Order: sequence, then structure tokens, then C-alpha cells
Amino acid sequence: MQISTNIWQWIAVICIFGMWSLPLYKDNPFYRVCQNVFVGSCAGHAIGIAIGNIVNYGFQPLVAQSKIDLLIPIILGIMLYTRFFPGIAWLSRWPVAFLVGVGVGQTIYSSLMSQVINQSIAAMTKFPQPTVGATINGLVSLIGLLSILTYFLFTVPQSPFVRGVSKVGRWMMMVTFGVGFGNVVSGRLSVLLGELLKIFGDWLGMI
Amino acid sequence: MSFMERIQNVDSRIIYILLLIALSLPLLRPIGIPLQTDPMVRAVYDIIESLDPEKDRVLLSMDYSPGAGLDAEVSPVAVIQHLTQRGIKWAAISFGTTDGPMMTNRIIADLEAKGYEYGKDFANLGYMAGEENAVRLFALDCLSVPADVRGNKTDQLPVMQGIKTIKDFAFVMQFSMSTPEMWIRQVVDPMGIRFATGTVTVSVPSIVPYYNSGQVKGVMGGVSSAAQYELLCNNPGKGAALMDAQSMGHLLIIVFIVLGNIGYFVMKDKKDKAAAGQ
Repeated sequence: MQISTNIWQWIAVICIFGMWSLPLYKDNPFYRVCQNVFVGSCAGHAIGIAIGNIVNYGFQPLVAQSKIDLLIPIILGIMLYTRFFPGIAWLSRWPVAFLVGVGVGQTIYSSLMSQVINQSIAAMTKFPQPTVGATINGLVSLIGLLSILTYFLFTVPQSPFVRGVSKVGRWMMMVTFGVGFGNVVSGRLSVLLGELLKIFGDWLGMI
Repeated sequence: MSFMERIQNVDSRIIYILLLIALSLPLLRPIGIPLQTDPMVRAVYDIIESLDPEKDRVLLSMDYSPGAGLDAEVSPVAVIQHLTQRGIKWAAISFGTTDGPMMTNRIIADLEAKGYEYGKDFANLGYMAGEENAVRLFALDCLSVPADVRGNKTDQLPVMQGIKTIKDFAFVMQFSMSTPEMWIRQVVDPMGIRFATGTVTVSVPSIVPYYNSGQVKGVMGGVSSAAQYELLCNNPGKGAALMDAQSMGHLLIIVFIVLGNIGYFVMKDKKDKAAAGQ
């Protein structure tokens, strides 16, 4: 075992213990100090990157390369901040409208193509497939798709057949949520493992 | 209070402590639980193996933050080690989070310490604001990024020579904390590029439909995928080292869930019987 002499490793580990003090003890000043350090450093970093972006993508090309068209996004960006001045706050709606318009225009066609049409095509499985495993997989996917869609059919009479298929759909969704929950647990364990690795590896030098 | 009642009312701190012990012991004394390779992970490996180091370049979209921890960080480390081992040049850029360039710099620092050369073998193009619109702009004109994080002009970087649009990259991979829809919508489907994704474990089920449809060619999710990838490359690293601990953690949680359910049903049965007796 060789404890690190790097001050940043010590700060990182102290912050980890500070964060753990909430679930293992209760809300306390040590936890809140660590939390504020994290939030403050994240905000500071994000602001630094944002300023760098405005300089790199906005002011520098405008001044050095005389790209006059960049004045439009710069002015629109400044207009966003007029919401802090009640008299001219209405001006901030223009850049917001522009952003919404561009965003919708950019995604409306591509969403339909990528997430509806191409996914629907992929759901149309050919039977039988080259292997038994692939055929069973395809069947499960098809049954899952149709039964879950049936579960959300509220405008047809709930005959015993429709209710039965809906029940299969509900089970399919429960299995899916179970898989999702399992993955959440696995992901959170990985985060915890990263902290343990920092403690036992980087700080204590035991790994 | 009976044993079953105690199971139902266990102090969460006891569970946390048991979990810490279950995770710490295999970290300090690895057991060596065998791993199977997922076809989605092997697909990423096969794509990179098929690239030609002489002419092919790879683009990495680094869209994860430190908050996602090792779950997000081990996959890019494993893939980048494979790329550099094979001598394939790569450029990284970030669209989803301002932390992306910092996470890339962590990996680049290790590579530079090993003698790889910044600018020639790899480059970090920084963060480009605008998310989906920025992805589209970069795809159509990769030189729309004026400079990298070190202030070098993008069009003068050796690694970016001959790159005009995203189609000039032989392979594009995104590492993120969520799903890659914006890449699929703006680049993969309209421009037909070869694309794979590395993400946190929780997002994998949402990406599988895109893998099944062929829109995403390979998927890596969290520590387990990184461990499999490291073993495929014969280069065991952090991912492989963590898998024993991860498996022990899963085992302990399964035991808790089973015990909790037994306790719930036994207590429910007792209450039902008591209600029937009254």
C-alpha cells in the first residue's frame, strides 16, 4: 500500500466520502460543502467552454475573417438576455421562435424517416429466418410489437381476444421495464465501482 | 419482530455497507469470473479490425460527462486503445456536453505519455454548441470547426488532411450517456455512414432496435462491454478488472430482491390469514 501524495487525489477522495455521508449518515455540512464544490466547478467549467465557443465560432471569424453574416446569430443571442429587462422582454421571443423553428424544421422529416419508417421496415421480419434462434427472436419481437400496440388500443371494444392480447402486451412491457431496471442497477454499480477504484487504486495504491 | 418482518424493514444503510464490502473484496482479490462476448460488442471490434491504418480515419463523438463515471468512460478508453494499437488515426469532437473535450483530454494525456503524437495520430476538436444542428453542420462541413482545443487550425492538422465531410471518415462512433437518435436522424440515415455507439448501461435497451434495424452497426454499454472489448483486444484494462466486483454486486442485489419478495409474500399470506380469521 502506498498512499498518494497528490493533493487532487486527496480532494477527490474527501469529496467521495462527503457524498457518501448523506446515505450512510444524514444530511450534514460536510455533504453540502462537497455538493456545492461539485456544482460550482461544473458551472464554472461550462461557462468557460461557452465563452470559448462564442469567441471561436462568433467573434474571431467576425473580426478576423470579416464574416458579417455572423452578426445575425450574435444579435439573436444577445436578444435572449432582454428577458431580464421587463420593458423590452418581448424581444427575447424572437430568438426563441427562431430556435424552435429551426429545431422543428431540422428534425420533423428526419425523425419520421429514421424512427418511424426505417424502424417499421426493420420490424417486418421474414419467416423463417436462417437459424432457429433468429426465427424465435423474430417471432418474440413481432408478438411483442403487436401485443403492446394492442394494449394501447382504447378505441376498439375490449372483447376477450383483445383483452388477452393486451395482457400479453402488458407482460412484455413488464419484462422490458425489468431489463431497464436491471441496467439501471448495473450502471449505478459501475459508478460506485469507479469511486472504489479511486479510493483503493489512485489514493491508497492497493490495486 | 419475526425474521420475515425484519427483512421487510431492513435499514438501507446496512444494504449500502454490505454492497460496499461485496464490491471491494473482488476489487482487491479478483476471482476471475469468465465473460462471454456480446455480438453487438464484437461488431464494433470487427469494424475497427477491418479498417486500413494507411488511409482510414475515425471520428469519435465524445458526449459524456464525469458524472456518468466509469460506466461511460471505460468503453471509449478500450476503443481508443484498439485504434491507436492498430495505428488508425482519429479525431474527437463533442456535441452533447461541454465536458466532452475534458474527457477526451484525459485519454489523450495517457496516449501522449506513451509516445503517440497529438495532431498526427489524433486530435481533439473541442465542443461545438447546437446539438442536433451542430451535428448536421459538422457532417456537411467538417472544417466548420475553426480550431482544436489547443488552438491549432483544423484544416492544418495532419489527422484532418483530406477530410471535408463526414463521409470522408471510414467509421464514426459516438460515446454518450444516452441514445444516439440525433446522429441517426441527421447523419446515419441521410448520409449512409458506418456508425456505432458506446453508452451507459441503462441506455442499451433503447439502442437495440437501432442495432437490429442496421442503423447502428455496433453497441457498447458500460463496464461489461468494455471488459469484453478489452479481452477481444487481448488488452485487459479497467473494464476487465471491474467485472468480478460488478458480478458480485449483481449477485448481492439478486439475493436482496429474492429475500425481499419472500418476506413480502410471507407477510401478505399471514395478513390474509389473519383477516380471514377475524
